[in-house]
Amino acid sequence: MWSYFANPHKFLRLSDWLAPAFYSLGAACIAYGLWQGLWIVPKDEYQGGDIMRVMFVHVPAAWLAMASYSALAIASFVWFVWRHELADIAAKAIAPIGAVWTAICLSTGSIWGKPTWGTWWQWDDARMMSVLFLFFLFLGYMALRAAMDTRQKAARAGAILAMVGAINIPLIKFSVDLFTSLHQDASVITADGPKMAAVYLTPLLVSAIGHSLLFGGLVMTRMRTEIRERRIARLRSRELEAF
Amino acid sequence: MPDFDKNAAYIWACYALGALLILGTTLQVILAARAARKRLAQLAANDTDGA
Amino acid sequence: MSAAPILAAFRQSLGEAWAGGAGALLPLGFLGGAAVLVPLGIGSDVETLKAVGPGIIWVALALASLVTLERIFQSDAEDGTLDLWLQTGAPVSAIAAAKTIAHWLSAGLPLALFSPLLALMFQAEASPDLLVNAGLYALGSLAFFFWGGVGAALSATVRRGGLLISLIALPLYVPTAIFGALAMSGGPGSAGAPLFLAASTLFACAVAPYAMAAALRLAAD
Repeated sequence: MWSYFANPHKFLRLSDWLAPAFYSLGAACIAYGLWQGLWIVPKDEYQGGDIMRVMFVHVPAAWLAMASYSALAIASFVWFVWRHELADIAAKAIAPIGAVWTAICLSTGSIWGKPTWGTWWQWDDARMMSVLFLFFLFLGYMALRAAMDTRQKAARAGAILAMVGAINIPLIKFSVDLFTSLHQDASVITADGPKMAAVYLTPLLVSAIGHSLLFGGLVMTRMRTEIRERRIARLRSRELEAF
Repeated sequence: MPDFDKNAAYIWACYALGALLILGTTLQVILAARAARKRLAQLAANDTDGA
Repeated sequence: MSAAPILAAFRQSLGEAWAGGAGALLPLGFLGGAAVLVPLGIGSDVETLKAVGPGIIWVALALASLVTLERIFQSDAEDGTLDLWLQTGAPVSAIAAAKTIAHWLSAGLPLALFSPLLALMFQAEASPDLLVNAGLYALGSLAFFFWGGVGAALSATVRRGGLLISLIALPLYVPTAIFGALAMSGGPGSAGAPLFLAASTLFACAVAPYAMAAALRLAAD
């Protein structure tokens, strides 16, 4: 199955229409989520009033932060085992975009935290801490790739680091959970809250789908750019050889 | 414009930040894609000239 | 296949780590210097120092591992020793683990043994608990050295790799730092923390050598 997707030509042909489709569908979904979240959905007094409207940008970002690291780890694994170039191109394309969504998750979370918990940063919140370390994993991955002098080396080092990070995530998550469960502060308003009503759930799901589609489109465009960059590098080296 | 309770500034800050980061990223990605396509087209044209 | 190359790697690393300056005194000086800066920074209040002391020692240990690991594989990659290790046919993971353990023995373990003294400087009561804590520091620093070793192996061919190692290793140090600090807090949940600490160190010992081996093969290419 991987071999079918590993062909750059097929990928270019497929993404030629798939990426724009993802962009427009994603934009439509996000617009619907924004409209519902900002205007339609009633405020929830139990969750601190209007501030829960932040949910429609924060929760999709949190979902994408986790999904994008999983995608990075899977792409790295596929490249490491089968050496399909496209998997490495995908990993390289995913990392910065994933880091952006992780940063959105962190910053909106901390803005949400200020009025609800009374602080910008809560060391006792397991989710905040986990996402912060996820962000550092992304940063390390990008820094390592950037430091390598050839493409092959960047791909190999990146794949090793992404996989080491992925197998450490459960342990990091567990330790952070343990740390925060003991330090739990009374000021933290309910982590679970009441069961979410459908008025909130539907726009939230649509927003999450929209963000995912936009993310997918951006990754595809970055992959197309990378494929072209590699062709440019090949053509350049051929020109140099001709001299 | 919707009318929010006391936390309006925080809500707008979140949405503005999200929009800024996402639109900025999209813009950068699209500009980079366009630049790469243009350079590749140029190189390919030169290539056939030389051959 | 014999164990000779692994032993040779161990001895070479031990000599390297021991000879750099004044043996174990150099990392000890680093740890002491880092720890002494803390009361200067946060004030000399007895209760505050008592509370932050164990955590400061964990942080100093993590920093010490990062500082000493920077050149563990880099010099081998530069002078060709790495290629020779790879040609011996001995498992690369075992060689990497031997080198890491040698560095831990000459930098991590002395720091851990030195920790009761530092704890006293941070106003801890003199008690047998300090010796138990020294054991925990030794256990945790082993995990620091193994994960730091992964970062060092990955950035073996990178100039100014030290900064990169810190960035790579930081998220991997989290479980050890949390379990370690928890074990010494004496608060609720601290009873099981030493076991979690031991488990996360074992995990590091089991996984890191293979990651280091993969990274070293890459560095040798």
